[in-house]
Amino acid sequence: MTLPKAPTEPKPPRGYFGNITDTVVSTAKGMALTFRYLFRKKVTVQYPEVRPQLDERYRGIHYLEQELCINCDKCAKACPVDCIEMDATRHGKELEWHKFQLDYQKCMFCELCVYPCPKDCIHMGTEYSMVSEDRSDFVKDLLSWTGLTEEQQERIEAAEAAKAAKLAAKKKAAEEAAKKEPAEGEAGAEDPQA
Amino acid sequence: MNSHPAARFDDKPGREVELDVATQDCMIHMGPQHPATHGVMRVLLKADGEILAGAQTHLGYLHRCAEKIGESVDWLQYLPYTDRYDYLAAMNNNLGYSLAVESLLGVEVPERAQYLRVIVAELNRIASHLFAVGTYGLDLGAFTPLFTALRDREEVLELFEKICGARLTYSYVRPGGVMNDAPEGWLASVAAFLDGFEKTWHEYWTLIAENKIFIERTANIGVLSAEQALAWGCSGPMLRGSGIDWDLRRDQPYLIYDRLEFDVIQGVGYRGQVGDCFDRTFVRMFEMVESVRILRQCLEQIPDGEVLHEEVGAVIRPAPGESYVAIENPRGELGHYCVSDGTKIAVRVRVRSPSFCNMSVAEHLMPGAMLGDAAAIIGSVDIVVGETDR
Amino acid sequence: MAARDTAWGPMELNRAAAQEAAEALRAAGWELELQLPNLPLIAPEGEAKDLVRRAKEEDAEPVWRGDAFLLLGKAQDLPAVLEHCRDELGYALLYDATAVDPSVDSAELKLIYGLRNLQTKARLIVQARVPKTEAVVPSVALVYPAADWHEREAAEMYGITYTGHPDPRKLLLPDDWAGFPLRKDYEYPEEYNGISCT
Repeated sequence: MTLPKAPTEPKPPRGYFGNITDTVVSTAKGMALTFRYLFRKKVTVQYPEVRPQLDERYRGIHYLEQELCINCDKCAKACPVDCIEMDATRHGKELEWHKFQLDYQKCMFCELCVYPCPKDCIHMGTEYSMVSEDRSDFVKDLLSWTGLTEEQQERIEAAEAAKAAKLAAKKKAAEEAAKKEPAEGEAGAEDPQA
Repeated sequence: MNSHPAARFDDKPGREVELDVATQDCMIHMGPQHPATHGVMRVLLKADGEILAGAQTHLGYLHRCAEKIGESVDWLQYLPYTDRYDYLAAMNNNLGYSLAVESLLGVEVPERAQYLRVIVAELNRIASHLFAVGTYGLDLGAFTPLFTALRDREEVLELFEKICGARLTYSYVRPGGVMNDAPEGWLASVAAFLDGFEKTWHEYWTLIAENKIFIERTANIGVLSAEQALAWGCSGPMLRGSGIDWDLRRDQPYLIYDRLEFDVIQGVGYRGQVGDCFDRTFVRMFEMVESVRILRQCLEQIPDGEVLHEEVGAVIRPAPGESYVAIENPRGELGHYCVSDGTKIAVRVRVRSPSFCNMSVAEHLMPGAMLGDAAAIIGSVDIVVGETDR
Repeated sequence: MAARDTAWGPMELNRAAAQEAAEALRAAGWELELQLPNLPLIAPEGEAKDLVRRAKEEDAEPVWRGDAFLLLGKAQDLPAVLEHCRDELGYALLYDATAVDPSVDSAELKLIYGLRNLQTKARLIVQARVPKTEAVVPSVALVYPAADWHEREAAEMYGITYTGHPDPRKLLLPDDWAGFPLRKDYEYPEEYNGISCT
């Protein structure tokens, strides 16, 4: 069905009986429409039993690839609400982690901490449910890390693949541009001679 | 009707019909927790019997110091806060702020990013208008439109979830471009949504605009004349509903709106007078149609390429200067007046929010209306209190 | 359709309108200066990032980018000037009225009024300055009712007194709030009515 153009004229007013007809017809139309929905497929989800399918870019609770992290503090600096706190001691090449805390009472899931990371080690996950009776439970330490779940692994791999593909495309475009340029240069050189 | 600014709450307007029964003025608090105020806002109504003699708006319940925060965090760090003033159209807020920062930086974002921005902004306009029209029905006692509207809005939110990972506070459009490129197949799913929406739009029209009860509740109610709308600095559907042909997308074109073909919808007094509550809903209904047109054109034209300007990094230091950039939010003109002194923190981020100005006239539409119409008038302004208070 | 020259709107149009309005207002006898930015609207490639650093190195005159605006000589002229803009120059809509505190050291506040002309599609920014110690200006709410709420907001946030304002109550802040939050020297309160603010 195509969409109509907006009318530019007011609708002519109806008389007494026209008004009565309009009332009955428009109410019946609305009822019929509502009634038809009885036989359509449901769009609602029974939430606690059925969990929604979240997209791979979903911005939920963070997870950290602790082995990669170099304690550079860039994510904490980027955070608008200063909810990231990290602390580690360096022993040569090794880092001894003390804490990498996120205060989810403050966090607004804006993802600004993810972009500046030089090692791509902080990510946002699909976990969103966070219920507690105690406020201290909302301060989470990302160091209690027991390896990536399968889902998180997939997310990272997908992101890396996308990045590699983008880089390859960029490289290709640059190469093509480089190929084109000498050709144009030659053409430009020829012009003055002509 | 009271339009002179000096005519205030305490001035009782002359009544056309003198009643036999002596009545006493009655003060009624509408809000702060009233479903029809769409947030925490209080309207003090002065009722003379069933007829309103005046109204006074009390704001500030949702004041979160957005402008003060803007002066204390980095330019980029302020971005998530912009989501929070008009939480029903956060993409547009991001866009307005990003454009203001870019105007001080002096960068134009890559073309693909401009198209993506227009696509998300228009999708958000559809979602926001759906919510406005749906809840307006709810204010007037019609329950069904809200459910159907939220179903379609949900589809838009799912599209946003796919592109940026958030459903309400996106932070997707950022100074310098957009956060991510659209994932594979996203543009196709936008097209699929539009196909479905073209069908369901007719349902809203049947349920809302053709419903006799809705017409009776809105036509000839809360008439805002063109002069009044101009004088009170209204914008968006409020201004256009009063028959003024003004749309920033066309008249001060930003991004790539000058390449797109669309109509500016004006109120024509479709069921009553020009500028009544029905006309404002009418404008919103047909603006969704125009948004679909714009989206279709964008999907055809969108080029490939980068989505983030190379020179805009995590720390933004715009040139010193002052710049006002306004965009057409679903509710009207959203302007950011940014003042920079060349450091990484703003001197001033002024937010000119559309609901704030539109709401300032609403109390002047009340005198003379019936008590039950107060909800109809406030609902037709389509305020988001996060935005009036900021 | 107005011509678009930047991604954020037709800036040349607005600039031309500011120049035109400045001439018209000067001809009508008001004292004002036209402030034009001296940087190009769109930065040349590679400049956007380190413009400020370079500007400092060269030790050149101050650079700035953005909108052109009119700076009135006397803040007392505001209602008359805006009325002239509305009636003679066709700026029918006031979209914004606000103030800016440029810095802690600054002795003055800047008042900013934004006007729109729906015929020429241009907008105009009119500014004026008032001393911080005695921030009193005549209100324009009787010229443009739209300024009503904007001025109430600016008054409570910056401590500006708008004389002749029809309704000078506080708008967003509680009635008993002390201090002017958007001034740069504002000190955050320790507590408010027994509620700790820290």
